[in-house]
Amino acid sequence: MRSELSLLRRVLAGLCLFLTASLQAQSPAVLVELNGQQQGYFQQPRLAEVLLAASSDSRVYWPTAQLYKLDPKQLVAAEQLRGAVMEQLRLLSIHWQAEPQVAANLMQLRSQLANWRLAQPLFLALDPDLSRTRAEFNPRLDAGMYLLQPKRRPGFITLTGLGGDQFVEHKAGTLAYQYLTQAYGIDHRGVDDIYWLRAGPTPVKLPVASWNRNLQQLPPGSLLFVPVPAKWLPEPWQDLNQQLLQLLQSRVYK
Amino acid sequence: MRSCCSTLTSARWLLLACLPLLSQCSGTTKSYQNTLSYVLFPAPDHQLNRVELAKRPYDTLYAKVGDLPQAVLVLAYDEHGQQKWLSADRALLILQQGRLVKTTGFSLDLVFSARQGIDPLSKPLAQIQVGDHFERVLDWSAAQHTNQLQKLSIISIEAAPLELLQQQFDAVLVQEQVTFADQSTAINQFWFERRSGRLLQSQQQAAAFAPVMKLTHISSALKLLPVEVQSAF
Amino acid sequence: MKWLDVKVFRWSLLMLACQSAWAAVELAPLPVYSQLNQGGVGLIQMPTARMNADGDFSLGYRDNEEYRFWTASMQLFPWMETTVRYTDVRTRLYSDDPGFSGDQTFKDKGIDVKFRLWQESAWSPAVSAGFRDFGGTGFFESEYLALAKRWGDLDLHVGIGWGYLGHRGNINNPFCEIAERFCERPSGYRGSGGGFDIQRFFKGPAAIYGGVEYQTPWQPLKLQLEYDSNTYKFDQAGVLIQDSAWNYAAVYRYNDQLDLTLSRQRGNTMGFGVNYRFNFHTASQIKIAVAPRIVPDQLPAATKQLERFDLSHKLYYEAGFVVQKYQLLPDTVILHGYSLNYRNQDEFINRIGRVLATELPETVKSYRVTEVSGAIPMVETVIDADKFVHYARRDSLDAQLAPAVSRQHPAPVTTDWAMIVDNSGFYTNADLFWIQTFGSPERFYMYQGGLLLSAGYHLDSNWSLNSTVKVNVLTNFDEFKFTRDAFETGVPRVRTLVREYVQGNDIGLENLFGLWKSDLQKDWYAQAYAGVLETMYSGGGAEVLYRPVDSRLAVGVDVNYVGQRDYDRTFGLFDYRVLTGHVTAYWQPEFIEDVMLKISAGRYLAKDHGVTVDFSRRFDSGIVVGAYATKTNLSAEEYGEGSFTKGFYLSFPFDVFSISPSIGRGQLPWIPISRDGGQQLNRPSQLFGLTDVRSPFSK
Repeated sequence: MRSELSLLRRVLAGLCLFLTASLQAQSPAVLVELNGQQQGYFQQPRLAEVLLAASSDSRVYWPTAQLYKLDPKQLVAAEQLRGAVMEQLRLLSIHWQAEPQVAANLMQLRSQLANWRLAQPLFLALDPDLSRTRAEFNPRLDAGMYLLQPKRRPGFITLTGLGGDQFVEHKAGTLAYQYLTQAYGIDHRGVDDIYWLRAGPTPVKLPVASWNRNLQQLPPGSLLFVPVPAKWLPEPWQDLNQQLLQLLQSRVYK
Repeated sequence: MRSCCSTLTSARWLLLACLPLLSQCSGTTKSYQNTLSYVLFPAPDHQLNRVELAKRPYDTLYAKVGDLPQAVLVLAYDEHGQQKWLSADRALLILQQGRLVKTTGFSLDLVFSARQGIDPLSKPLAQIQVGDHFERVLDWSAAQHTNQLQKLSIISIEAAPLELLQQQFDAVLVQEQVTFADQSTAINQFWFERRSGRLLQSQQQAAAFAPVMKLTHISSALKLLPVEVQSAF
Repeated sequence: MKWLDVKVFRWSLLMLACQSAWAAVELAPLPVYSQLNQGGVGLIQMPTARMNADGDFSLGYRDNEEYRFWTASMQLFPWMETTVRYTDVRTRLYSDDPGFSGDQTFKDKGIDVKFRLWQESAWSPAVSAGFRDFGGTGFFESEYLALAKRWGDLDLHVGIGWGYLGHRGNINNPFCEIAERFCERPSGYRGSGGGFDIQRFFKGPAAIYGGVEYQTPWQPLKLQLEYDSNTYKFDQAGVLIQDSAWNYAAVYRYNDQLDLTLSRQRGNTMGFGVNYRFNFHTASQIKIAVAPRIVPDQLPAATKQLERFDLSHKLYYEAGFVVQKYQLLPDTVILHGYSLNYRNQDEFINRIGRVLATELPETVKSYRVTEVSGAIPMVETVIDADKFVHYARRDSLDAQLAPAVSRQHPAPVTTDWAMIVDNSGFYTNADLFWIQTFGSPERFYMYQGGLLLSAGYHLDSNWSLNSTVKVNVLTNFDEFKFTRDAFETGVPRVRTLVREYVQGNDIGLENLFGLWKSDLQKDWYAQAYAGVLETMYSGGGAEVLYRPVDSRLAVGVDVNYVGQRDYDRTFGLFDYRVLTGHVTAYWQPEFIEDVMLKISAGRYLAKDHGVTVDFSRRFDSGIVVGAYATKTNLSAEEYGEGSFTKGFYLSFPFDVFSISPSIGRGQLPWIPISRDGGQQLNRPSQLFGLTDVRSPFSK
């Protein structure tokens, strides 16, 4: 509850900042949040300029860097979705009271979910060297607020599903379904596909069951969604996986 | 009917020989001519002479990637201890102490390289010794080529004269054995100028599936020449 | 980056990544299943329920002692697989007459089709039903229902076969339980062969077969084991001894394209095979071309007098667009010309737009580019300069090309042209041709290749005189012994005298005709032609076509009056005259993408009436696969062997194989058998082809 309020405050603060910014005479057209600080640009910058501000640290691992747009309307919609999903999870865990492990996992997912920061990810190749040298990778940013998240190289894969986030060490040659087994063991029989987030404008479906799996490998830092197995989803909760997937698309991963 | 055709046999072959003249330069014919000439007469390696080199305001690198003709690259950025060389079709080769650490613009790019230990090439030439070794972890842009561990160790250091710009350079050849993630090996070669320790040429392979790259630091070579020779024709 | 001298670096080529702003991840490819002996996805002799990826094309060769197979299998849709096959029966001769066929062994051709009925899921298997050899003379004619289920590295298969696959008879035919007539399989063909022998489907003995495929830990190797439901007592090669009902094989994947198979069949025979596979969607060759221009943030102030020849040269060099007419108004530029290189319309417009945006003054807000075909303006693309520059410079995150471009019927140009390239006058051209046939009695593979030399004169944009001479350079058609066949069916010999025509002079007049063509009014086109029209016919005709821009439907009518040419292919005519013509609808349905249906109804060369249906599918690479069939009022007996005209073709863009982009196409037809019924005139000029740019299908 407290965390939800603080999030709401953050959204309102962002909205106020945006409104006041647009009312001032000489306000920045674009605001980029980078490492907790705001960078303002009075004229809409191109991507290369924004990325260069973050590239002074040469240990940035650009393949997993992410740029988000902080669009107030979209944020409000995402918050509403989060509220709905949290309620679904709470009711579902009550439904499975008889299965304490499952109920605990659902509540764990719910509490982690409550702390997610939400924003709208943009699908652009983020690499200052690429943007500086090739015009097609250097678009101009529209006016608004953004969040740039450069990261160090993660040596693990993140799987989000029942029980919240699981982290599995990345090893060369490991296949997608093997990461699933390492994270969840055989508990996840019944999951036919997992979803690879941020690999494209829409999540990419990866087959992982014994009847459809393939030789898909994953780069370090991959973000996966493991749907809740169907056996834990009675009729009223049929849409839960779709909703979780949609919410994950707006999640800001640390 | 059959007999008159046999007398025209030679005429047929003559017609065939005239085909390129008769056919209008339709797009299709031209594209096949291009393909054939690319295969039969590959483009020659590109080089610049000393005068052209001296006139250029920015440093130049010759890069021969695999079987492609040698390309001329310019130094686009020199930052964070890395030199970023740019080609005409806007691909980048990023070198750190002469070693390839990143590329952009290729169908399979090297996106990241992290080392464990000290890279012998970062030491002054006099301090490089046989047996110096370190390890690297490389990430390429394809998922099946990420987290590739490779071990590199210096196996020989010997004198080897090198000819560039029609001059002989007193060079030291440092040979390094690299063991790739699939346990196959290759030899990387680095030619340093003896007195200044500057890297003049290198031949390196970043992965078993990557092409062998021959990089010639021609501007470094030019700067090492005596001033009179630099501007001579 | 002023210091990058592009001209100097022209030949410095490094591999380029794709041009999209978001570099898509590379996903693991869909599974590729190996092919069976007779072609199509399966084990060794038994077909399975598996399907390859949409657009997969496999060429196979199998050698099993008694039989040799050359197969081509195509995944036409994700749910439909088709296979064509030539069989060589080593133990039999083509005919008993050495004078007729020498020592050539017995050959047969067959066509198979397989449909996916159910996709595999966690709890259900994949289910497919197939019909083998349904359109030929039925060496291996069978029907089957197959199931497949995968479990990790094991792929389990089971199926029921009828016909050739049902000889073992280890179960009662389930259809026989329902109706008496399914218990016996009738023999004999309907008509004269070549039809769909539906009266035999699912009849007679049935048998269960099965198999398992194991993917070994070593990726390139797969092992297969199957239980054969054929007893080899009724084979065309004679009675073959079957020591064991179990066949096994090893499949080695050399690389993504090539498979090698080694098998042991019937417990006593070794078999060897090779398969080459590629995918029609992804077939392509890396292109080396001039990079599209970058549009700088500050457009150059255009004050100098625009050098129009310089602009034409730049458009040709960077966009493959040949400018024929040009007019620059204060706010619009109008270009008439044709495209030489870029098949992809978006790439073409992108390149033209970039050249115009950087060369023309900023006051020019609209670029009107009209593509001309046969000297008639066909389609006009209007580019909004501001929106295009916004896209080309990536001035926002979601800048797209589509809002900047619109296509329409060419608007008439009222002002005088600043530049006109006169395209009237003489022209010459030379093209290569290649004709081949399979399965002839004299020799299995017969070919003829050479040059088509054309010359002509364009009087103006409507009238022209054209001629083509065919020169044979390489041929073995002179080995044809059997020219006039003895079958007299009462049907006029309109096409079956082909061998007389191809065996004559090595140089012959292909056509010599006068042509008038015109755009009558918006969306209507007409043409008329008279003279020597094709190899076998001379005469005259006319055609009218209605084809709106970017329309899914076009309709044409053509009428011709022709006489049959003499064999020596000069100007003489035989007595035969015919009035032939068709109404044709060209339809690209909305409910299924990349498919074109051509339906032609009318009167054919043999004075028969009927309808031709041509179906074709286009794949992402531009390769088009098609099939057609004609049904006329001739009975199967009158038609002769094959019962009705049918054919297949594969049309491919030439630049699938070349490193420079180009718009030419090649066509590979395959006509199993061709007789006199349902034959159309090969008109020397076709309006649908001429107007292709208005609603391109095969780009």
